[in-house]
Amino acid sequence: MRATLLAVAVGAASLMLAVEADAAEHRVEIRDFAYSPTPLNVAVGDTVIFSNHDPVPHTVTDRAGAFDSGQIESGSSWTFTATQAGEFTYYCTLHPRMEGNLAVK
Amino acid sequence: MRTQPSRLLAASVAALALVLPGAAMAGDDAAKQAGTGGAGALSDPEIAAIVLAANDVDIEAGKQARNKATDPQVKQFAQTMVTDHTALNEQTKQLAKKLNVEPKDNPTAKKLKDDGKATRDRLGKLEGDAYDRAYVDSEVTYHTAVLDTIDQQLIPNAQNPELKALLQKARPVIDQHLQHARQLQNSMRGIGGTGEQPMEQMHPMQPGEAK
Repeated sequence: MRATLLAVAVGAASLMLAVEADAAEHRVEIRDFAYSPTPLNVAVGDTVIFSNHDPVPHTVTDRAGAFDSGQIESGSSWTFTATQAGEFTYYCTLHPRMEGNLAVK
Repeated sequence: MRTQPSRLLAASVAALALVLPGAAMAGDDAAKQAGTGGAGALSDPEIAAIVLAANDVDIEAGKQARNKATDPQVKQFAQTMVTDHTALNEQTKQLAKKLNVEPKDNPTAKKLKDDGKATRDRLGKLEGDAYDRAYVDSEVTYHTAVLDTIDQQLIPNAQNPELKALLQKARPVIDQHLQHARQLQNSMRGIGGTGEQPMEQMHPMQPGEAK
């Protein structure tokens, strides 16, 4: 009984590790009022870290409303986890001329 | 204190005077007074005061526009001005504290503040579309003048490398604001505005309440 429980626990842990190992981490730099790189292709489960290097706040806001970082202050970052597949066009609500594209597959 | 050609300062003040109705005639006097001890160059404490004043002027203008503007895009632009210039001011204050630089008032900074208030009072009397267009026009002119001042006066005169770096980092922000304002200006003209807003009509601002 104890061995079975242990086996189940180990199996579950292995599965979790496998999922984590498959999830990739991507980075988008916000600098000089631009997102880079864009477009960016990621997989469901991946994370994308948006880092703001400008002296003023920015946002990463999906035009269709799927996600919104809120203000990312100067020198700060925001981590987005891709939970649904799709093509997303995001922009900065403070500086609407800034735009980027994210494809989640 | 370094000595700089006074014409540089005169050019800067003249540029700022563009922003400030009624300031042009006083420009020469301001230029003569702006330098410390008549040297014609700005010290770091004076530059810090000018940066803070320039940001404050546009923050107050943005607060007024946030309340008075009717076009949602103009309102959003005004909010961005408040947010961005507040962030720039905060960084300027932090750096000044770190460097032990006490911002020193000077004729250029004072004129910015005084004329900013005068324009804010004048624009405060406008309403609706007339206000929106006057505000956006003033923002185009203001950011053009500030860019010119950064390039010709502030960056060249900054002594401390960190202060110079801050100015260089702020420059693209001002440039982006200018592009954004120009885009709005063109958009409003396309919508049916006459685009005949006199360029002399400059600076809005008022210590309006935040929304």
